[in-house]
Amino acid sequence: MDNRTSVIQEVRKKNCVLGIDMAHIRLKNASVVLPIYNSSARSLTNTLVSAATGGALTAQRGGHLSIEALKELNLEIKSGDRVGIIGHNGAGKSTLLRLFTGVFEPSSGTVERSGTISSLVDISLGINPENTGRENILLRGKLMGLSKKQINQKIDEIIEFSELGDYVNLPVRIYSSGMLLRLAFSVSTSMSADILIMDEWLSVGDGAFADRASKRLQDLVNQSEILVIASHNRELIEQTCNKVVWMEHGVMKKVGPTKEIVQDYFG
Amino acid sequence: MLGWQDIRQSYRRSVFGQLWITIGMAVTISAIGIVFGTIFNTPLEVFLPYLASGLITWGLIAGILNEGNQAFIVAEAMIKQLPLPKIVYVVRVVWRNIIVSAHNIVIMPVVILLFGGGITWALLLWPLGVLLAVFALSGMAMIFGIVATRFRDLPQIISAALTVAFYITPVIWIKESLGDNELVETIVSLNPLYHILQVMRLPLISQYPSLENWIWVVALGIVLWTIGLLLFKKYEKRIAYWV
Repeated sequence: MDNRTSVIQEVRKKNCVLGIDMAHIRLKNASVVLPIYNSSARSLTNTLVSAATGGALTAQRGGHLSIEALKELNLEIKSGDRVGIIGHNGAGKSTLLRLFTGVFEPSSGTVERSGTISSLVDISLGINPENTGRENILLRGKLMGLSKKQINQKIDEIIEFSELGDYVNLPVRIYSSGMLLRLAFSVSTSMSADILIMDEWLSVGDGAFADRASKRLQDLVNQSEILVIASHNRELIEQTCNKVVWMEHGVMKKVGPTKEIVQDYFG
Repeated sequence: MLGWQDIRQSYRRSVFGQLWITIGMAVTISAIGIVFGTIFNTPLEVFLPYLASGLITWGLIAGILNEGNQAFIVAEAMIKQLPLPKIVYVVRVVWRNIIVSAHNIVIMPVVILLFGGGITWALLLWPLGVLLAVFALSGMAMIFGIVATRFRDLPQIISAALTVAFYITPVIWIKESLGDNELVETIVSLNPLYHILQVMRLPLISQYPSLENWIWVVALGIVLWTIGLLLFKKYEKRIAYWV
């Protein structure tokens, strides 16, 4: 861990001298206000306001209800950072991850990103059960922004890693759920990116495959400049992250070095 | 790419596969052709090419508009995970419908062969007509797509409106067979879908769309795309919040 961090810092220093922009994410007063457009929204008001978790609820102009999922966040993530995000359900962790990946643009404030981003939040996204494994690799690769050529270069390696053998030529609907995950995992982790976004550590398969998968993921993390991972797992955070963001009701309750925050949060 | 996926997924497990698109349309054309040909008392060799070209073309129009307003709604899972440019989802709908129509268009030569009608220079205008019409329809799909994502009543309204539009647009009935009726004339010529229909259909049945048709379609394309792009500029970022 220390070794890797120092190597990355070394590279960073060099790149700064060379004038190369390193990966970073910068939030400035970024808020996400999610509107709820149900006709029954108003009758729900009372129930929701008394709920213990979740973002602050505010009644908005026009009378519809909205959730202030994230409130004026200021955060800078630099190259080399391994950021853990902790907090209760509904504290805004997933919304924050979506803000990082660019799915949500902030309702107010700004998000500045540089570097390629890869999200491992939903690895089976876009998998079409009627298509063969091979076709799904192509489709998924396209969704990840790869060209056909790039995918073809990687496809053999992906199939080999997934250990699906001849099954890749059969429709995905006949796969067992484990096989499906292996396929999804193998494609999703085939490309390195500057910024990796994860919701809990991915674990797939059993026995030997799980070990290989874990190693592959670790390699991917090592290659990335920035890792952001939301987790409820203390050990994982302690082992992986150098910085922790503690979310509560859509605001950052505490930000700081792992040891300190984890101590406060988990007690 | 995603458009193809949709088509293949629907027909993957059936014996005739994508051929069902064509078969479905052929059956509809034959049935309506026989019934209405008799009602209108028009000879089949005139009526069938007219009907086939009309239904196939209308299929494209209604398909793009009906599915266009659902473009973002049905893609919720993907929109909430991937920051793709949102126009992708509109292109997907349009492309999917073009592929469906390409399956249907093979009926045209068969009808012409069986019932006559011939091939004339008018056919050369067909690609241009389709291009301009699809351009205008895509603009409409962009607008509906965004508005429908925010206001969920719109899909129902559009699908009801399209049913009405099918009857007030001369798709299966022939305008001329109603004689010189000024009211009909006015309603039809103010109907934008009529002009979109004409530029795609007439070249298929050896006729030339009027200058009025062309002007309408080009103007529609420009106006709708302007509105569509403005809406996109303003609301593209909000789509992820709305779906």
